[in-house]
This record gives sequence, structure tokens and C-alpha cells, in this order.
Amino acid sequence: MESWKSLIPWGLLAPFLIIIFIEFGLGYALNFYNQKLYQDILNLKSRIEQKEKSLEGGLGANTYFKVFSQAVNIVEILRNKKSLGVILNRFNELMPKFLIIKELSYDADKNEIEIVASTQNWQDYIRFYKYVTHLENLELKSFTSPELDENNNLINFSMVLFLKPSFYQ
Amino acid sequence: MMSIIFKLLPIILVSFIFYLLIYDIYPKYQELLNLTKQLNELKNKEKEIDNLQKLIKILSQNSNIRQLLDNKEVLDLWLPQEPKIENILASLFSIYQVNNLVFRGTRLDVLEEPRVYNSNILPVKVINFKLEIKGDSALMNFIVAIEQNVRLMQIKKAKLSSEESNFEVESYYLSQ
Repeated sequence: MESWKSLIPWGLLAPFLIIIFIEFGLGYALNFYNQKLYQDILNLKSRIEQKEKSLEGGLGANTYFKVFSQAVNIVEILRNKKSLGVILNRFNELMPKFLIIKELSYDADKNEIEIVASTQNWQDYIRFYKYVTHLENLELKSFTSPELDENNNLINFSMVLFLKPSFYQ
Repeated sequence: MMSIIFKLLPIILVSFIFYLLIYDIYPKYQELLNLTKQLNELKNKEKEIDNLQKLIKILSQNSNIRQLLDNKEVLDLWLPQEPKIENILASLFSIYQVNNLVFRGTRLDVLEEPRVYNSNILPVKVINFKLEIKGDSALMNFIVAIEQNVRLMQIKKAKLSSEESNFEVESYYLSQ
């Protein structure tokens, strides 16, 4: 018996046995904690269900919230609204009198106005081009090459103008 | 024979340690992570519901909201809680008539995606429609009438010329 015990290398085995013991302890603790978490989840789920029932269709179904949403949305829509009437008046103020606008396209999302226009001579076209490229409120995004319409004696062209934020002020 | 077994003991124990780690502790740890995540999600949900309950209480006690509720009919004219397509058509017909123009009808499309102006409130749904007018005598009056209509409308695109003008307009209603 003595010789059997003396054969076991206790010094070497002890750390391993301690680790195994710790692992068993850890496993037990994890098991215990997981069960507690599972129980907490079940309790929380039933509590949430009760609270959801008390909300009756959620906030969206609440009259006060709907009216509040209506009012706030109205304010937001009006605040974000870009009035074409105001834009056209402002644009007309900026454009020189000699410019003949045949067609005007407006895009609120792109903040752009495209004009198909004419001038009566090349001097006016150059004057207008110079003027429009130096405007603070508008930015020339693209343009087609001007062409002389010999029948009407007009210089025809089109331009896409970007409305800078300062345009709306 | 015994001495060989005892000498092999450390190897057996190390194997056992790893066996416990891989097949017992690690799965339990994974389960712990999952359960904690689930619990946190539920706690967040409960918090959201609590906040909603508080908000409903505050809204129902707020005198300004009560005042708004008294003027609900006016709000419904500007931004109704339903599409109320018939109101849009009636407005358009009247705008055309006032400006001596002929209203030939339009197709009203409700966009699927609601528009969120403010994330704390209900979003709005957008109704798109196209309009056209002949001539330019009533052009500015027509534009002003559309933009000042009691049911909120905004001209998103326009193509104006002396012969004919086309408009892409949007109107709104409260998304439920």
C-alpha cells in the first residue's frame, strides 16, 4: 500500500486536480446562472406581453399621438416646402430683360432649373453667359452650345442652373 | 504496470481538463452569452414600451395637445389621417375651374415607402400626381392656388412653356 501511494507523483498531479475541481465548480456555476437567466427571460416576456396589451395597438393607435404627429408633420412639410411661385419670381428678378425664355423646367429634389432660351444677338448671349456664370445664387451646371436660328435671327441655347441655398434666402 | 499507469496519469488528466472545457464549460458559456443577449434585447424592448407609456401619459396631459385635438378637423384638412383622394380631386377640380381651365383628371399614386420628417412621430405617406394646363394666362395663379391649397401640396417638378405646362405634385396623409 505504501509503495502504491509513493508511486503517485502528487506534486505533479495536484495542479491538474485543482484545475479539474475549478472546472467542475465553473460548470456548476454556469448551469445555475443560465437557469436563473432563463427564468428571468420568461418573467420578462410575460411582463412585456402584459404591457403590450395595455398599450392597445401601440402608440400609433393613440389619438393624442396621432394628432401630435399630424401637427409636427404639417410644420415639417411647410418648413421643407419650396414654393415654385416664389422661386419663379426670384428667378425672373435675376434674369436680364433681354433674355427670351421659351421653356423652363424645375426640379425641387435636384434644386435645378433648366431653361431653353434665346437672345437676339451674339453680344447678348455673351453678356448673359458672363452674367449667369458670375451669379452668387445660381451655378451653371451644364449648357448646350448656342446656335443661330437664321429664320428668326435668334441665338438658341439651353442651360441647367443649380439653385444655391442662398437663392432661397 | 501500475507505475506506467501512474506516469500516464498527467496525460489522462490534461485530456480530461480539455474534455471538460470543450464539451461542458464552452457550450454552457455560449448558452450564457445567448441568454444574456436575449435578456438585454427584452430589457430594451421593455424600456421602449415604458417610454411609450410615459409619452402617451404626457401627451394626454399636455394642454397644447388637447388644444390640437380640439382643432383636429383643421389638421385633418391639411394632413388627413387617411388618403382622402376625393378631397384632392375636389381641390384640383376647383383650382382648374377658378382659373378657367379644364381638369382632365389625373392618376394618384401612393408611394409605398413612408416619408419620415421626424423619427419620434408617425411618418407621412406621399401621394404623387401629374397635372397639365394649356396656355400660360393662368399659369402663376394656378401655381399659387396649388401651393396655397388647404390640403398640403407641393410642386416637385414642373415644365413650363407658353403652350403647355406640366407639373408633378405631391400631397400627403398621415401613415398609420
